[in-house]
Amino acid sequence: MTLPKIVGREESLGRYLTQSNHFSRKHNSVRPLAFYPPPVDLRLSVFRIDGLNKNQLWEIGQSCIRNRPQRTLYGVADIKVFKVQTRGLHVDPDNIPVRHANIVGWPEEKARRNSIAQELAADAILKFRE
Amino acid sequence: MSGLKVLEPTSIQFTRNLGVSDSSNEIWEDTEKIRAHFAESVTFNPILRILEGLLKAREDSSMDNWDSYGAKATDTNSFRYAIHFALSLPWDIPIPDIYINPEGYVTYEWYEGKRNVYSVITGNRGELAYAGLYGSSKAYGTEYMYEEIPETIINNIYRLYLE
Repeated sequence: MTLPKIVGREESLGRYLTQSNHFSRKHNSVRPLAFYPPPVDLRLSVFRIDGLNKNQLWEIGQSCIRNRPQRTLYGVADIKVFKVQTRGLHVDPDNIPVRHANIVGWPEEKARRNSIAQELAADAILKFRE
Repeated sequence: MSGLKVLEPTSIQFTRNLGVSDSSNEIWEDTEKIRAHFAESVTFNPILRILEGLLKAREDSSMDNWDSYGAKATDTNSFRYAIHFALSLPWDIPIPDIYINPEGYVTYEWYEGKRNVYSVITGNRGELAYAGLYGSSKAYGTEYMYEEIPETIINNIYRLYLE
C-alpha cells in the first residue's frame, strides 16, 4: 500500500510503547509519558499504520528498538491524525524509514506540553503486542 | 509581592550529598544511605514511600540517554525540589507514580484512568508545571515552590478523587 504524501486527517498513527510506564494495564490505557516529546528537538516519532497487517505492525515496532537492547516493545498507541491536529500540532511525514513521521509544533511551555500529552494519551487506543 | 521567597535547593534538608556529581557511583551511594535510613518505616509512611519512589526513579534515569531516545539524566535541582515537594505534601494525599521525564525533570503523576489524571513536574528553578484532565475538563499552568505547595496544586490533586 502506497501512502499519499499528505497525511490525511482520518489516518491512524502508531506511537510504539517501549517503557512499562507508557501504559496502564489496570486501566487498559496509554499513559501521558508515551506522548511526551524528546527534549532535543521536540519531534515525537510515530508511524503511519493504516493498511498494515498485524505482522507488519509489530515488525516496524521491533525495528524501532533493534539497536536499543535495553528497550522492550510492549505495544502501540493508535491515534487519529485529527486528534493531533486539533491540539495545534502537525504531522511531518519524513518517510525515513518508510512510514515514519514526527509529531511537531509542540509549545515551549512545559505545562501546556504535558496537558497535550495527557489529551493525546486519553484519545489513543492501546494495542498490546500479541 | 508576598513575603515568601522561592526556596533555594541548598535550604532543603536531605540534600547535603545529593547530586553533587552525576557519576553513577555517587548517586548509588546517596541512594543507599537514604534508603537505609528510611527502610524500616517506609511501609507505614506514605511520604517516605514517595521518597523511596523518587530514589528509584533517579536510579533508573541517572545517565543521559537512559531511554535510548535522547532523554536527559535526572536534573539535580529538579530532584531537590521534588524532595521538598514530597515532604510538603499532606499526609492524606494518595501516593503518586514518580518518574523522570525525557527532559530530566521529576514528574509526579496521579493516574486514575485516561481522563482522570493529574501531574506535576518539578523544574530546576522551583517551578511546578502542572496539568490535569478531569473528564472533559482540563487544567494546566505553572506555580512556584514556596515554603508550602501552592494551594492550587493541592486542590487539583484532591479534585481528582472527589469527582
